[in-house]
Amino acid sequence: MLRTFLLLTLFCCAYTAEPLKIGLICSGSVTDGGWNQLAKEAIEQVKKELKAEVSILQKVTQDKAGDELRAYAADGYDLVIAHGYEFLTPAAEVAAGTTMKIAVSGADVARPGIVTLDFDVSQASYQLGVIAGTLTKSGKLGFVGGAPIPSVKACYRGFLAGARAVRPDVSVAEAYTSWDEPVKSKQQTEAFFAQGIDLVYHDVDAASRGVFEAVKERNARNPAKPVYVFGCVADQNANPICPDHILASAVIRLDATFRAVAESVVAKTFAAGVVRENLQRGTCVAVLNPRLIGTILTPEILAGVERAGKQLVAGSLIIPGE
Amino acid sequence: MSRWLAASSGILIAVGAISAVILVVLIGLALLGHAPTTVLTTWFHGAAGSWTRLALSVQEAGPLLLTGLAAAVAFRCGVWNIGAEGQFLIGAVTMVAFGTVLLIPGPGWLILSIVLILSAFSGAAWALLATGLERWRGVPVVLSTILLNFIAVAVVGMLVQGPLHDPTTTAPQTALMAEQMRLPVLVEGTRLHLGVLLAAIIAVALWLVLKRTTIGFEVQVVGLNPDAARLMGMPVGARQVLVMAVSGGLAGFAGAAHVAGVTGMLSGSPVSYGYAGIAVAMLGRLHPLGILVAALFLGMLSTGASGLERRLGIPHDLGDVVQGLLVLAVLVGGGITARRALRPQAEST
Repeated sequence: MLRTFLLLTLFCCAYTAEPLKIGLICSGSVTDGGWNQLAKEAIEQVKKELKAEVSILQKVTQDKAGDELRAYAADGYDLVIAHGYEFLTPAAEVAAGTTMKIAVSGADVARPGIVTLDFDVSQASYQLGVIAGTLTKSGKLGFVGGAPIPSVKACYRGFLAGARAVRPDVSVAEAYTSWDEPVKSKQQTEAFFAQGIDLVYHDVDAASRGVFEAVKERNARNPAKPVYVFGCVADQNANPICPDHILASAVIRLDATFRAVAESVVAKTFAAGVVRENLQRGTCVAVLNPRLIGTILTPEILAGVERAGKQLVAGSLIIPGE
Repeated sequence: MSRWLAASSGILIAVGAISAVILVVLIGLALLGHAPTTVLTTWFHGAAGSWTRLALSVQEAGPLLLTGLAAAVAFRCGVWNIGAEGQFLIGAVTMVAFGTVLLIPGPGWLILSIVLILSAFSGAAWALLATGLERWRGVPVVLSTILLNFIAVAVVGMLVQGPLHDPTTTAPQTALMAEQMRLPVLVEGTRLHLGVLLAAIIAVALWLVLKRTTIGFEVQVVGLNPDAARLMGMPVGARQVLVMAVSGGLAGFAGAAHVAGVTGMLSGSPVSYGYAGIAVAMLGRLHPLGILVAALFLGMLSTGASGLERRLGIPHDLGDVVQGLLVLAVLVGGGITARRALRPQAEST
């Protein structure tokens, strides 16, 4: 019933009112293969589905975010999605003086006038951890993050808990390098391999290229003892650098989240608060690499991942906090 | 007559450089499939398409003007202060400290004025570290000021994640400054603040000081030829120290005014206008009023560039590219005229 109503509203709007104007403010480049690229693809999906007018700003710093939001407001935009938790404070300040709707993604606290979009990838990371714990030969895993911020630490904690659940003696080395310097993440990954680590999980966005290159080179040198890697944020399973060694990705279904926010603006139901996306809602999920299913990813592993997923959704399994 | 010629040739060089760079950029964008007329109108719309946008451009010009003046004042005296970046940050962090954790009770405007002056002093003190190193240890100012920039970034990072950190978030940022410590906003819908107006007044004042006062004259003579200045009995060392203090003070004030006027907080990786100030100074040919125009132009360039990205999807990095090209073009233009001026002399001897 609600859906029909919503569709009807959308239908009317498409023909009577001006198109919805949506701005997207990204903290990095939209070709980073991760967080920002995902946002660009999601907003383009929304543009197509809602016939919206969309504008994207890349590489906006926290200090500039306020001005860019004000410029969007001056341009008569209906909604701006500020894609990064560092935009929360400037967004809250701008929201107090405008009718333009503002959503901030990656944050988990409420601010007046703002919709915050929280993505909990820790549960999907737990499922990746289950795979890692089963497949590791050395019992040593590695995690490399862009920065030790809460969302990244949560990925590490989920991964660690998942791996320990299947093999209690597993260790996970954690390191934080940079979001956009592949050289650093590559060096870090190489250092991991030198320590005997045979599975690496990353959350480094644009720097993921370095991680994948390290995996590719290592496997070319030593094909007898293959190393594997997991993708993060976007579905990186088909990444051309080492597609046969990416086991799975923890994926955020950003397009669904963005569409819901845009639809709430159209339907005039946009209400400040925190939207929590996670495994239960089907928006932060583990996606296994289809090329490896049946070979490395055995039916037992698939069953383990699915079992963990059910327990996480049911709430019988909770990932420990910090 | 010759003075008029010199002044007009300076303006000609700037205008010529700007036109040449714009032409090159437009041709480049045309090759990428963006019609020059669309680019120009979109840029103009972004920079000054409405009163709000114009105000945003002027707001952006504020810190550029102050750091531009900071660089120019030092360069005019032959003091190579490349440290406006660090002095800006130190001024900004001082302001934020007094706006968040070190709140002083009292009438808002009075406390705000005192803290603004204090922030300028902190920027000056940071700059004078370099002078001290030069006086007592012979470290060239051009080196020490650059290196002090990195130290300032680290100090600010430490404070932002330490004593000044906003307890309500895990992001590396300070809390928002108290309302009474924010500079009043002049145009609604923007953060064009009182500090920008003050900056313009400072530019005019500086021009008058350089042009009309003994100290201003001495500063310039020291810059042109310190040996000659010394022989004429001018206090060369004292003028260099004074200029460094004023330069650092201007940059520190720029930082304080920017956080009190625009951002209201500092983040772990703050945007600074220090290095851009050098570009502004060069573009304005080290003349306070030239710098006023250059800062306005670069402010418009920046907001216009973000408008280009918003509407046409051209990355706003283009603004930085244009800014860099402009400085290059102005320096090359200046070099050519300088060589022309020397040529007849060389032939006659």
